[in-house]
Amino acid sequence: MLVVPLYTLLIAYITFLAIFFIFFITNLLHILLTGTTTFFSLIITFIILALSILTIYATWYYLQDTIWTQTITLIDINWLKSLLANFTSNRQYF
Amino acid sequence: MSLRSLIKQKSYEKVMFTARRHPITFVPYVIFFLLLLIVPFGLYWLLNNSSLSVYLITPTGRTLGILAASVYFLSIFLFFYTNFVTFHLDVWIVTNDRLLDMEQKSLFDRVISELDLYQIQDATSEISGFFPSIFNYGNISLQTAGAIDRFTFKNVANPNKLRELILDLSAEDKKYHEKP
Repeated sequence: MLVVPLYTLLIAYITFLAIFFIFFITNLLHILLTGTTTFFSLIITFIILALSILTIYATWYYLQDTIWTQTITLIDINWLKSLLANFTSNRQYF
Repeated sequence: MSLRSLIKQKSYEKVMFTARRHPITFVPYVIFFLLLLIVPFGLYWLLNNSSLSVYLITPTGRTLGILAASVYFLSIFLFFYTNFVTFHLDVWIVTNDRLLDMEQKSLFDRVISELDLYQIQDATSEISGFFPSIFNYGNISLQTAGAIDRFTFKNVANPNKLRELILDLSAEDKKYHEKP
């Protein structure tokens, strides 16, 4: 049985956020450093930034009461056993 | 950094115009983005009305679902923004001396080509298709005598007018270069 604590997912999520911000900053720097900043590019940047902050805030809001130490079962051999048992008992022959 | 310093503008040089892709060519990305935004809501509705709905109310199922949705939304925001940047950074700059083509192929792939105006031999503008005809945008191809044999402005607004302007500027520059 492969069991991991829930905070493993949180670590993976934070890693994803770090990658997200690296790419976001890279995109922003591309616009700023090439001297092509326009009203349109600022509006799009603002919308994307606002949506991203809103998403991260909503994630935090809905997950603030989560007990991160509880475990999650990734693989359980009993699942495979019951699956095989179901398969053999429901087998039909033509 | 300004555009002036980016192109290393010479003292006698004047930027005549800058051209970008027509904004209408970005609309398919916006539609695709909006469709991708709807997907999780549809998926949630499907899961909620199926036998899998019991997993959504368990603490781990809920946590997994929220984290997955968050990752999905942030990924499509980034995807959209990266597409916008590659669209926005395709710029063609025409000065009274040269022509610069700055093309952002992907986030880490940028190509800048330069051409002296007097090297232009002929120019072709092309408006082909339903939307280009309605919104008046298309391509301008420049045949040159230089190392780059063809120079293309892609999906720019008013291609016929721009072609005429480029040819006028080229004729002016040729006069200057042909002076004994």
